[in-house]
Amino acid sequence: MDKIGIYVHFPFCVKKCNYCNFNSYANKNDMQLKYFQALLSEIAMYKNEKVEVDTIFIGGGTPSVMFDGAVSTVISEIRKNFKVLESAEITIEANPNSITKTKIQEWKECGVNRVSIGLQSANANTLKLLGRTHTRQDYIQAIKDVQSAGIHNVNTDCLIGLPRQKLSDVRRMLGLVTKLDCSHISVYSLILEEDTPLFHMVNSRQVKLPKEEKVLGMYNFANKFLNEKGFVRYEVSNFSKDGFECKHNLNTWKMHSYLGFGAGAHGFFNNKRYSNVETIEDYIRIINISQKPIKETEKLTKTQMYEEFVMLGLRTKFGINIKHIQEIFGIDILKKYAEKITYFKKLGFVDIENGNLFVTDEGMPVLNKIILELVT
Amino acid sequence: MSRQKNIRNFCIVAHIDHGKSTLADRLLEETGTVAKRDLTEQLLDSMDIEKERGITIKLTPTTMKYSEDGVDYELNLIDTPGHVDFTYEVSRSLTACEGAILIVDATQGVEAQTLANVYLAIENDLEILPVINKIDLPSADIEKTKREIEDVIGIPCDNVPCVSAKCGTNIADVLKEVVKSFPCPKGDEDKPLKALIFDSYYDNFKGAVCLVRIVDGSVKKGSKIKFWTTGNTYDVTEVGVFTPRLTEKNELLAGNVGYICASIKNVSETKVGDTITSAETPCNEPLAGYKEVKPVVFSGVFCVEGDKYNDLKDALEKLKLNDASLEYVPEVSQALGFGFRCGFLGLLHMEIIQERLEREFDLDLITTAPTVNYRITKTNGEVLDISNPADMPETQAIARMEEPMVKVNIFTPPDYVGELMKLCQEKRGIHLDLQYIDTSRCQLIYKMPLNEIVFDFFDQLKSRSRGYASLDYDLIGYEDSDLVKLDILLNGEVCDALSLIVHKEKAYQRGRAIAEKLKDVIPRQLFEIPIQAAVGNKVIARETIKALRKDVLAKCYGGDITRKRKLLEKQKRGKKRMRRIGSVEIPSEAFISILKID
Repeated sequence: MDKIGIYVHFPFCVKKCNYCNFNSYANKNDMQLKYFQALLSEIAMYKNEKVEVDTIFIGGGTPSVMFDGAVSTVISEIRKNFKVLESAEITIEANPNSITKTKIQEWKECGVNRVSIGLQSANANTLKLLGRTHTRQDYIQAIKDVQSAGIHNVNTDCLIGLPRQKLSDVRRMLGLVTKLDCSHISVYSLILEEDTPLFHMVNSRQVKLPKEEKVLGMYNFANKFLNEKGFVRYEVSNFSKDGFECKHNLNTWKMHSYLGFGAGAHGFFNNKRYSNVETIEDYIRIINISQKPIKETEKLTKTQMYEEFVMLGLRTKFGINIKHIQEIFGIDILKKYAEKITYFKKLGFVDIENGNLFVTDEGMPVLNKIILELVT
Repeated sequence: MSRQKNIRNFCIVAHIDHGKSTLADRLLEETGTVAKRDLTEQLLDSMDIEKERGITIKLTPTTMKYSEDGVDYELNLIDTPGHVDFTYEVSRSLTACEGAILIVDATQGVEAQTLANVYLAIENDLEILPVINKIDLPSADIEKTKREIEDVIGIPCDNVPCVSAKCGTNIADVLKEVVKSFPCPKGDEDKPLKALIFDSYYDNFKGAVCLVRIVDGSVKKGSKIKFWTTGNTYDVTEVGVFTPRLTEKNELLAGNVGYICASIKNVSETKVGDTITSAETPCNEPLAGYKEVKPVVFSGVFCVEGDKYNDLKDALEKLKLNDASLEYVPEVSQALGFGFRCGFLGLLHMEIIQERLEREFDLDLITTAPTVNYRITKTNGEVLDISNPADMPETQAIARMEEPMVKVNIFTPPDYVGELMKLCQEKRGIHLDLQYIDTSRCQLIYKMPLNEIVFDFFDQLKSRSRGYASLDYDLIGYEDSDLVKLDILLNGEVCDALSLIVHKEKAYQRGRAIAEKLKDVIPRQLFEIPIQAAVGNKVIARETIKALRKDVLAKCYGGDITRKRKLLEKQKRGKKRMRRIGSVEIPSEAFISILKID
C-alpha cells in the first residue's frame, strides 16, 4: 500500500501576526465548533482510499487555540478512516502562550509525538513589533512543559531578517533554543508579503529591514552555530539533531503524496496538486452539502513533475539522484546541463556524491538561481 | 462648369488638441451626413491608438450635402495628418483642396505645427478660413487669438467664425463661410483623366483603395487607368465617395473627391502624390509635386522572445500593406537575435508603428535607440549611408562624416525661453532666431543635428516647458560632423544592440549615463559584472554590478508547493525575456531603459 502524509489545517488565531499572509483568521473563534464538525466530515470523505499514513501534521493558524478535545477527536477520526502506522510521526504546531498542560496531555494521549513551537524572535521589542502575543518567558515555559510531558521531539520556529534585528539577536535566540535542548530548529528568512501590516510599515519607512548582506550573514551564522551544537542543515531552512528530521516535510520535498484537510489546505495525491477553498465560511458551506471543498486541482505534466523534483530535491542536503531522474523522466542531467553543472561546481555551489547532485553550503544562499538553470 | 460651382473641397488644419476631430464631427452632424446618435465617439478617427491618445493621425475624408438659399452644395472634407512626420502627406492632401479651415484654440493661440501647415497651405495657394474654437472655456481670449492670427499668419480676422465645437456653438457660421470664401474647383471634365492620390489604404476585399481628387476628366467602373510613376495599368472595379462610409457611385467627375478600387494588391503601388490617368488616352503630364518619401529615423526592432521572429515578420508585412512609408530589412544582432531594422518618417511614426505591433499583433518588442542616416566617406573614396552603428567602418578608414541637420521651430511662452535655449545648446543647436510674437509667445529657431532630436529631445522640451512648448522641424541637408561609435561592454564583451553613434563631445556624458542606468536595471548575477562604455579601445566610463549573494526561498508555505512552482515559473518567464551577452544575462527592459536618458 502507498504511504502518504496527512496535513490538517486549523485556520484560527488569537491575533494575526503583522508579517503573516497565510490562511488564518483572528476573531473567528466562534466558528471553531462548526469548522471542527466540517473537518471530521471531510476526513470521512476519503475513507475509501487504500493508503497507509506515516505522518500527520496539524498546522495552522494556531492549532493550540482549538478548544480542548478538538485535536484528539480529529486524530481519532483519521485513525478511524485510514490505517495510521504505529511508527507514524504526528506533529502539532503551537503558540507559546496558548499551550496548556491539559492540551499537552491530550496530545500525548492521542499519539502526538512531535511539537513545533513558534518563537520567531527572542527579543521583546521585536516580538511586539511582529504582533506576537507571547513573551520569551512564555516560550521557555512551553518547551519545558512539552518536554516534561515526555515529548522530546520538539521544533522551534525562528525568523531572521526581521526589522531592527542584529546578528547578536540571532545569536541570543539560537543560544536560547539550543540551551533548551530542542531536537529541531527551523530558521526561516522573513518574506515581506504584500498587504500585510509589516509591508506597509516598511513601505512607509516606519521600520527598516536589514540589508540583504546582513541577512545572508545571519543565515550563514545560523548554519555554523547550529552545526557546532550538533545540528545538521538537512533543508534550506531546517536543522535537526541526527534522526530528528521532520519526516512529514522531508516527504514533501521528496514528492511523496499527502492529503490536506481543512480550509485552504493543500494536497498532492495521484500526481495531482489540489487546494481547498480558503475561507472558513466557504469550507463549512461546501462540506455541508456533502461535497469535497476543493478549489483547484492541477494534474502535473511530466515537465512539471521534473521541475518540482529538482526544485524540491535540491532544497535538501541529499539533493537529487541522477540515476533516479534518468529512470523517471528520461533526462540525463549530467549531459543535458553539463556546462551549467561544471560551472556551478567550479563556483563550489554544487557537488556530486554517491550519484546524488546536491547544493553545498556555499550554493544554498543562491539556490533559486541554481534551480532555475537546471530547469531551463 | 456649373456643376463644379457647387463643390467645395477643403481640409482642416489644426494643432493636436485644438479640436479638429470634434469640429469635423460637428460639420457632419450639422449637414445631416451622420445622425447625432451615431456621433457618440469621434467618428472619423479610425485607429485605436488615435482614439486612445486623442490625437488624429488620419481622418477619413467625407462628402457632405449642404443647402443654402435653395442651392445644394457638395462639401468634401479632406484630412491633413496633424503631425510633422507626415509633412509630405499633408502637402498632398492640401493640393487636393481649394480651401483650408485653420482651427485655433482660443485658449492656446497659434502653435508651431499649425504654423508649418498653414505655410504649406499658403504655398499651395489655398484660401484660408480661420475658425476660433473652444470659446466656451473660461480662459478663452478671442480678441487676443484674432490678433495673433493676424500678426503671425497675416490673415484678417474681422468676420471669422468663433465656435465651440464641443458644445456645437456657431457651427452653421463655419459652413456659410466655407461656401462663401472657398473657391470652387476649376477642372475640365472633357479632358483626359487626371486624378491625384492623396492617400490610400488596404482593404481585404477591395485591395488597395485610392483616395483621390479628380482634377480633370472622369472615371467609372470599367475604366482602364494608369499610374504615372509605376506605369502599371488596371481596370477600375469600383468608384465612390465617403459618407463617411464607402458609398459606390456611377462615376467620379472633375472636382469630385472619392475613391477608386482596381484590385490592386499592394499600397506601395498607389503612392501618395502620384497621378492616375486614363490608360487609353493619358494626360500629357502628371500633377506636380510627387516625391518618393524616405524614412529619416531608424531603429532595430526585435521580439523579446526570440522565437517570435516570424510573427514579427508577418506583422510588419501586414502594416506595410497600409503604410507604404514603413521600410524594413532583416537585421541580426548578437545580443537580440533576429529582427528588423525599420525606417520611419519621424518619431511619432516610429512610436505608432511600434505601438501597433505590440497592440494589434500582441508582440513584446525590444527596440534599439533611434538613429538617423549618416553619410560616411571612406578614405578610398567610397560613400556609405549608414543608420546602424554596427555598420560604422573603422575610424582609420573614415575620411569624412556627415550628419543630417534640421531647422527647428519652437513656440513657447517667454517664461521657458531660457530653459529651452539651454536645452537646444545642450543638443548642439545653433541659434538662428528668437522672436517675440506677443507678450505670451515666443518663436525660437535653431539649427540642430537630427540625431539629437530623435533622442529624448521632444520629452525634454515638454518637461522643461511644462508641456507648453510645441515643436516642428524640417530637414535642411547634411553637414560635416565629428562622430564616434560608442560601445557598451558587459563583462568585457561588446553588446552590439547598445552601441550608438554620437558626437565626439557627447560620448563621455552619454557613456556615463548609460553605464549608470544599466547598473540599475541589470539584475545581479552570480559573479561581478563590469559595465564599460568605450570609444574605440578607450574606456570612458565604468560601473560594476556586484555579485548576487542571496536568492533562496527560505519559507515553507505549509505544503503549498504550487506557490513555489509558480514563483519558479515566473522566474522562467523572466529568464526567457533575458538576452545573453557572453555569460551575462540582460533583461529586455535594459535595452528599453537606455532610450530615456537625459
